[in-house]
Formats: sequence, C-alpha cells, structure tokens
Amino acid sequence: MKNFSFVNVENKADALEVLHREKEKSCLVAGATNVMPFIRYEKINDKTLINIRNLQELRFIREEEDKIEIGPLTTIYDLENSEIIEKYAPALREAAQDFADPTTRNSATIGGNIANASPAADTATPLLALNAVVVAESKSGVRKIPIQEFFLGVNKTALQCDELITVIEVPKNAANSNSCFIKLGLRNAMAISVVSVAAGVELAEGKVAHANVALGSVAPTPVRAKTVEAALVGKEFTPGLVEETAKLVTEDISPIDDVRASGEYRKTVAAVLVKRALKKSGKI
Amino acid sequence: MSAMFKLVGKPAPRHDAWAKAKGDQLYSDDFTMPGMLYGKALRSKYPAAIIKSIDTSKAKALPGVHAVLTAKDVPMNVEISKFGQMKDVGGGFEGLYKVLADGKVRFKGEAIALVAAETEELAEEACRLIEVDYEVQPGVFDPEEALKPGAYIVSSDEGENESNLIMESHINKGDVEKAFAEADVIVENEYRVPPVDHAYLETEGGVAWVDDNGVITMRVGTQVLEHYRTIAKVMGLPQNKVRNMSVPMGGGFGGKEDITVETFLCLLANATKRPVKMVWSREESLEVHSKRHPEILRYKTAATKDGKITAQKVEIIMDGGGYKLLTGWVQMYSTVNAPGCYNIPNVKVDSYSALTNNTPSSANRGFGCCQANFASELQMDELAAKLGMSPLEIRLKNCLRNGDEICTGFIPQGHIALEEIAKKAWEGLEATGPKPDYVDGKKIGRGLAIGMMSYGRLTFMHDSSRVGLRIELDGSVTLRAGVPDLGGGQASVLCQIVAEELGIPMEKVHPYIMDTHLTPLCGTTTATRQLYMSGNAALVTVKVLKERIIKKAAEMLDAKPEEVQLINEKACLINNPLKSVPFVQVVGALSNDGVELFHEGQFNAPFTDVPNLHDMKGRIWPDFTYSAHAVEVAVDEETGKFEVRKVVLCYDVGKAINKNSCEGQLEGGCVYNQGYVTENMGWENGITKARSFAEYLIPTAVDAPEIETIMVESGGGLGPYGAKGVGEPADNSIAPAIVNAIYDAVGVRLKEMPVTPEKLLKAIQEKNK
Amino acid sequence: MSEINITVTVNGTKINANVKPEMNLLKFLRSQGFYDVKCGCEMGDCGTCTVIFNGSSVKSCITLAAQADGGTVWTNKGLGEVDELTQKLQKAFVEHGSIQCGFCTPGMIIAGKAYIEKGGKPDRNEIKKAISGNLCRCTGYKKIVDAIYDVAEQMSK
Repeated sequence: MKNFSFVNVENKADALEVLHREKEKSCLVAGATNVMPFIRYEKINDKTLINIRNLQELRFIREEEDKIEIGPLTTIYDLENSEIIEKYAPALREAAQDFADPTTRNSATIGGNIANASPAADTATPLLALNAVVVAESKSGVRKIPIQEFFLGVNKTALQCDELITVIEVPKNAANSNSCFIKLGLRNAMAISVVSVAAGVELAEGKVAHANVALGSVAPTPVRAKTVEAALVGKEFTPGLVEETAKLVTEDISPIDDVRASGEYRKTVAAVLVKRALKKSGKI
Repeated sequence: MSAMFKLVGKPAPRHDAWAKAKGDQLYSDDFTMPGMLYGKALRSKYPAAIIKSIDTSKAKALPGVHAVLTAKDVPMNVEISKFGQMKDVGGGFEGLYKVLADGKVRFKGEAIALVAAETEELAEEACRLIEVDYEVQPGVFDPEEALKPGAYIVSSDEGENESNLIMESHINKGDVEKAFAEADVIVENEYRVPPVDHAYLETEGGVAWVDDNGVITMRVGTQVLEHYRTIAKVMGLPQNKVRNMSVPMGGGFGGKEDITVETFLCLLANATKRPVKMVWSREESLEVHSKRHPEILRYKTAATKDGKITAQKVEIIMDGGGYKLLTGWVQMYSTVNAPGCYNIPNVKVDSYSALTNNTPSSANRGFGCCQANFASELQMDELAAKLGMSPLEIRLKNCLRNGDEICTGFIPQGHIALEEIAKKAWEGLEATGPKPDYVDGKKIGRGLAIGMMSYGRLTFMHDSSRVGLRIELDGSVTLRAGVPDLGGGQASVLCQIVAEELGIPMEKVHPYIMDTHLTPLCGTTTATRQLYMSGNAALVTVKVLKERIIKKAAEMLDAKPEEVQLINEKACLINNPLKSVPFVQVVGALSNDGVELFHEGQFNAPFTDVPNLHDMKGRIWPDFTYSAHAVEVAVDEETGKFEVRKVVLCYDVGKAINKNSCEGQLEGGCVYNQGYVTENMGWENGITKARSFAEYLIPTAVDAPEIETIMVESGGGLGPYGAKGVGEPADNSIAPAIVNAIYDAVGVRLKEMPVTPEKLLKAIQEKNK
Repeated sequence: MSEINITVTVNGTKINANVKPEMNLLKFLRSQGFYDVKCGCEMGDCGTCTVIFNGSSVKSCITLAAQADGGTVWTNKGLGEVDELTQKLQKAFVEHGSIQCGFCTPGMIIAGKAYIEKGGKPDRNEIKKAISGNLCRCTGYKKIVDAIYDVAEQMSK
C-alpha cells in the first residue's frame, strides 16, 4: 500500500527545517511532474512529500556581474521566456523550448529536472555544457557543487537528503552566450530524447579558445565530451575540424539499448548532433 | 439535385457537440452510484503458463473485499463469441470467448481473477494477495513458428488444442504460373506490418448493477451493444435480463468491438449485489486489449514491359495472438484485398492465421485491409521503379474501373473513382509547388498510394439495422436507435437524414441511442457500416411517416400527394409554396384521425452464402470506398528522422451528408495511420514494452502534416443519397504513401514497419556503401 | 498515510475535503464531481486532464491534490459559464467540427485558452505547438487548429 505524508512549506527556512527533520524520508515536490509518475509506479514509497511549489522566493532569474543566477523553482516556461537566459545561456532556452510540452513546462522546474537526475533530463545537458554550479543549502550550511560533480547515476545526485538547491549559477562568458542545444526524439513533442547535445564554443582569432560539449541519454548521467573538447581547443575552427572531431564523441559516451533506440544508433547520431551543435555555436 | 437539399451536405454541428464542448458529456467512467464497489482484474504475469492452482483465501479475508472470482465461479466461462450478427455463420468464423483464464494462460495480462472491493486501493491489494501457482511454458511468439509441426500449442481448449492454425483462406483466379512464365518483369518482396494500439484517449470502463427487477444492468461504452447476448449466456441468464444502457465512447477504432469490461462487471455486480465500477488503466489497456493483426505478406508480381500487371501471387501469415476473437473476419479482408485495387487477370492468394502467445489481435480501424494495402502499394512502386514508370502512371494503367471485377470475380455495383481521385490527389500535391530538393537540410520526397476498402459488413453475415421514429405532437421528432456512438457522429447523421426528409430543422430531431432494450438494435458500429446500414434504415423509416404526413397534408391543401413537399416546417405545394400548412398542424390532424405517428423500419444489406474458403468467389461485401493519398516527406539523411510535411488526400465519398463529419473522418484517419508507420508496441516474446503513452507514441499536433482534403461526390454509393462509408477507408492508403515518399527522397524503401529513424538510417547507410 | 484536509476553490466554489497525501489533483476533482476533467493516462502523457491551476494550465494528473490547498482551479466546464474566451473557443469547436469523440476536448480548449491568453496569434504552427501536450486520436488535429485559429483571429482584431 502507498504510504505518504504531506507537509507544505512556505519559505526556505521552513523547507530546510523540514528536510532536517525528515531526512531520508524527504521527497521535495515542486512542479510534481516527475514525482507523480514515481508515486504511481511505486518507484517511491514511505516518503514525506514536502511541497515547495509555493516557494516564490526561489523562483527567479537574476543577472549578476559575472554570472546569472537561476532559482530552482524557476519553471521551464520561465526559462523559455527569459531575455537573460536567451542572452547568456541560449542552450538552456532551446532545451526549454524542446522540453515535454507547453502545459508541462508551466509546472516543471529546473531544480526538479536536475534533482531527478534522469539521463535524459533536458535542462541537465545544457547546464553541464554551461559549466553551471549548483548551490545546495541545508541547516548545516551552504555548499557549491560544480555541475560536473552533481550527477552520480540514474536518479542519483550529490545532494544530501537534507539539502535544498537554492541557486543554479551559470557563468557569463562567450562560450555560454554562443551555446546551443539540439535534441533528437522520436516525436516532435512529448518525447524523451534519444540523444541530446549542448555545445558552446568561444573563438579567438579564428581558433577555438574554449569548447564545451555535453550530451544526454548516452550514459547513466549527462556527460561531457572531453575527447571532443580537447581535440578542438587551440585549433582553427573549420568545418573540416568539426567533422573530424565530432566523430571522437564515441570515446566519451556509453549508450545503452532501450525501447527507443540501440546504443549503436545513439553513437552514430551523437556524432551528427555534436557536429551540428558545434557548427551552430561557432556560426559556420 | 444537390441544390434541393436543405440539410444534407451541410457542415451541421452534431447533436452532442455542445455537450462535449462544454464538458457536460458523460462517459463510462463518469457514473457513480450509492454503495458502489471497485472492480479489478488480476492478470497473468506470463504470456504462456499452465495455471496449476489459485488460492484466493487471503484476498477474500481482506476487510472491504466483497468478491473474489475465478473461472470456476463463472456459470459459462467459455462461450462462442458473436459480434452482433443476427445469423449463425459457422464455418470456423466464430471464435472462442473465455471470461477468465483456466488451463493455459495464453497471453501476458490475461485476466485470471476478479475482485470487487470498497476502494480501488483495496481491490489492488486484494489482487496482490491472490496466489497463482503457474507452470511457465515456453510459448510461441511468431506466427510462422506457431504453424510448424511440433510447435508449442497455445490453447488447452477443445477444438483449438491440436494445432495453432486459426483459419486458411484462398483465392484462385486465372493461371498465375502461366502468367509468371510469360512475364516481362517479375517483382518479389516480403513485407511485415506490426501490431497497433487503438490509443483512444478513454480507456475501457463502466459500471454495472442489479436493478430492482433483477436485471443485470450496465453503463459501458461499446461498439457492439449486441454483446449483451453473449454476456447473458456467460451469466446463465435470459437475454432479456441483461441490459446495457450504453454511453458514448471516448474513441473506439475497433478496440471496443470485443467485449472489454462488460462480463467482469456483470459477474461482480451479480456476486455482490452492489454496483461495481471498473476502469482499465492506460497500462492495462496497452497491454491487454486486442491490437491490429501483425502480418507477414509475401508478394510476387508479374507485368508486361509497358506496366500491365498480369499476375499477383500473395502469401499472408497473420498473428492472431492468444485468442481467435475476430481473426477469421479480419482474414477475409486481408485475403480479398491482397491484390490491391487493381484489375489483375491472374491472382493467387493463400492466407493463414495462427494463435500465438502474443496479445490477441482483433479489430482495428482498417480491419485487415490496411495491412494488405500497405504491402500492395509498396509492391506497385517497386514495380514502377523496375519499369521506370511513375507511381501515378503504373496505378492509372492498372487500377479498377467501373465494370471491372475484383479478384473473387465480383463486379462492384458502386462507382469506382480510382482514376479520378489518384490524379486529383497527385495533382493537388504538385499544385503546392515544384518539389524542392532540400528544405532546412532535409531531403524532400513525394509519394502516392491508393486503396479500396469495403463499407458494410461481410455479406454472408446477413447484416441488418433498425431505426425507430415518433413524431411528437409539437412537431418535434424522437429518434430511437441502438447506434453506438464512438465519436464519428453516427447518431447525429441519422437526425440529419430524418430532418431533411421531414423538412424540419435538425434540432427538432432528438436521438435516444444505445440502449440494448429500449432502442431498436442498429447492429455494430464497426465495418464502416452505420451510415450505410442505419442511415438507410432511418431513410426507410422516415419515408413511411413522410408518406402519411404528405397524404394528410394533400387532403388539407386540397391537392394530390405528389404535388406536396415538406420544407421549412411546412407542407406546401411544390409549384406554389405560398399554399401551405404548418407541419405541426398536419401532425395534429393525423393524431385526431388516430393515424400512427411512429414507425420502426429495418434495412437489410445484400445477403450471400458463406464463401468456400479454399476458392473464394463472388460478393464478399456490399461495396467499396476508394482513397488516394499524395504525401510530401522530409528526411534527415544523417539521423534517419523523417517528417510528413504535406498530405493531399482525395476520396470519393459518394455523398458527404455532414461535410464536417466526413472531412473529420478523412483527416482523422489520415493521422491515425500516419501513426501506423512509426508507432511501436515493442513486443518481445509476448511482453509489451510500450507500457505508456510515453513509449507508445501516437502523433501529436506538431507531428501531423498540413492536410488538404478533396472530396469527390459521385453519388455512386449504396448509402443514403448515394453516400459511401468512410470511417475505416479513411486510414487506408496513407501509410504506404509515406513510405513511398521516403523512397522518393532517399532511394530506400523499408518493407517493414514501424519505420524508426534507426532502421531508416541503417538502410540509407547500406545504400550509400 | 493519514488523510489531510484541503480547501480548493474550484470553478468559483470552495470545496473542503480530506484527501490522501499522494492523491493527484485529477482524482480529487473527479471525486468532487468535476467529470469534465478526463483521465486518459495519469502519467502526464495525454493532456485530457488539463485545467487552470492558480492561473496556469497544468496537467492535473501530475499535480498533487494537496498542492492545491488554498488555491484555485478552473475547468473547461466552469470557465464556459463565466469566461468569454472559453465560450468563444467552445463555440468555435462546435462550428468547425473540431469535436469527434470529445474526450480530449475539455483539455484541448484549456490549452487553446492558455495560448491565446499568452498573446498567441492566429498562426497554425504556433497553435500546433501550443496544443502539442494534448493528444487527439480522432480528428488529425486539423479542425482543432482551425477553431483555435478562428478565435485567435477574433481576439487579435
């Protein structure tokens, strides 16, 4: 039998208090779009559902001097419609536009999307490419988790059970401002990605100064394409270079077969999407 | 002629449109009764197993559980399934219907036990407490394997337990071997088509209770009201003691043609003497209700150099799944439609169906026809490619025309517009502009397919329909019809016909529908038959009343009956409309005279004998509806992902009685079987991997193409005013048109659906090697 | 396990009820007689249960009923009684033949309303995107897009 209790919290302090009290029993609920299917399929049980949907203080998109700050309660709809995101993190905006469907985007939040840690989470791939930093807070203090260290496995993150994401920081830089996102799904809406790619490159005098490439649905967590990045940096940014280096992505990923596609297909398509994303980001 | 119509041909809002728009329409899941319990089925964990024992004691002991039933509690657990036909057809057509599994489990998700409890959660918990001792069996999941000697036998029931063969059927016309020997070209291919879920948005469900007089009564949406007879047999009750006050369905598409929740509900209500509700979850619906038949179709075609087809030889293997259900009927459609909509002098078709341990196959919009159409239309393009002809040319060269006979030797009575509609669809697509090579980096291709599909049931079923009318004293009309409405406007169109004939507004005719014992039985909403059958029944019935009204009006107007017409709620002289008497006054006068203001009329389809299945000849259906789809696709050559950009579809609908409804069928059917190309149940050894709508991906609004709908109205149908049926033919030729368009774009033709990006990419890569 | 007490204003009427903590908003609404909110999948995959919750369109099956405590919910039926835009959409759906089985209709009308209220223009592609979270198996979407287009055009004049 299903066994849950429910607590509503109205502010961050209360949320941290309840998390501290409930510990492993805690299950934060914001947009609820992931939690509800989990309850239905009994993937979770014996939990205290902590409602943070009304935590308006954590719903914001702010521009700071060297970074932008996104509150975890920011909805996917907010991301889609933010000029700040469009300017400094276009990959995130494009991911938001491809996210599920417009109705779900009204509820789903960026914090929920990354805390759920699905390998196919649409905002995770761009945040990884953008070198985001997750700020987590508990009663014992605040810590910053680089996004590269945030995802530990399918539905597993570096968050402790009493921690709440309070901010997601995205650095302001040229690579991030040039970033883009491409998703391949089996349908044009309400589709879980077969492969997704986010990429951002910064060029200096025609050469690659920075290259950030991340992929989703190709490993237990979203992954960085480190081999591709390393092969790009310092080189002249040409279509030829992009074509060659994109193929190296198979070194960086370990996709599996599932109901949507085989691992082999994912490898092939990953290289295609990396190539396209790099070209789009570097405008060639 | 058409200028004469006041209502027929207009895009009239249906009688139920406002209720549906405002959210007032109630469906099967929207009824609650005092003391209502919740029913749940325990379903098999395995696709093939022997049930050694079932222990229900723990479930029965759970407080709040009121009934736990297994096969031994069902008065007649095994029955012959009928589908509303009034005739005992025999000949191996009627399959076995089993309420709850006993002996062998035949597919995963087959119901083994039923529970009724105070809440849904309790019912679920009780199901968990039922202990079933299974002896797991190897099973057989491929119909060809199932037909081999020594194969695992799916059924343990009498009559089915010696072989998995369900039925074989054959057509022999002319001499195919001679034609192959003399052929200029021969094309040979194998095609495979997958199972399809109906994916109606309303899952199966309803409520049942025992009424004050002991009648088992239910409210369950079904395409076949007449199932009450089978349910009565299962319950061991007379047929006048089982009633379905049915409700409109949230979509049917053939999936609510078999019995769904009805027997379960009636058994539980009878056992508990309390109202019981059962609604299947989406997961249950995807896993257990019947699907479209997967088929393997092998084609060998002979033609002359100039593209005239001289012979077609087809072998078909159908996967019937765990139960026979409608397989025999579906097989007739695949068999006779195998040669396609072409005039071919020499034809040989051999088709076989088999039981397997997959989810049962049964009715699904297109009913065996769209499988054959897919294969035959790809085969046509293969032939065209080999001969260097265009897809349009090869079709015009071979398509059926008025006076031609189909492969059984039958010459269709209705108009055959294939040539006209093929041209109109293709020219319509060309008129959208010259085909670009690439759009947004994607390769563009165009394709064509045409088709024919029957409307009306197999004529050897001896189909009939009845409609009742009563003219009220205020001039309004009560229409009574046991017409299951699944959303196609099946009831509304009857009102339109009656209103047209009586010269009154459509709102003045109100339909009372879908009650097994209070409305005249119209037969099933299947086989694209309601407009043809019940439309004609409505017409026959209203004409009887119309004659009485006109006769009386003529008296009142001092004229001859043939000089009087009914129009604008008046009876008036045809030549002098100003000389008139209000309709309501004529009705009043008839009432005063004691003349009957009611009538129930029946329409019978043409009747034939059951064909010799070893050599099928003659008429199999009343008539056919002809379709053409011209399609433009865009293919991403690097990922294999494709999209359907444009569709121009053209149908001869005979007469569009309700323009919006008719277009709605054609457009809806188009997108329904656009999905045929890509939807994937993910069957693997009897397990359904597509558990939800996140895996079973039907087209969304952004997947659907822009559709241009061209309706030709030849008036050459057998329905009212020359109408033809369109419900199922609407999804007939779209899927092959898409696959042919992909070939035009990238030069590969996938002969097996679903066409996934992965399969398409692989084929493109192999071609480029 | 223990039930919690919630108060939700649905279609302008305050409803007080005890619910299980994990109950979804869809089941709550239906248990209170709001049957125009349809259940198609309970997984957020079909859109038949779409309602307006605290001003935004949401899929009620993937919203917790408890989250609606103190909030407001509008369904298609309730809006049809008071909201002019919804009334226009309902009328357009009737006149354009956008309704077949009608099961997706209440959710589809809410999606259309959400689109137009956010300033959506009469643009077929944009309308298709706006209703892409709402499945329809009957119509092929064409006449649904026609109806929303018609109302968007009326509103933009």
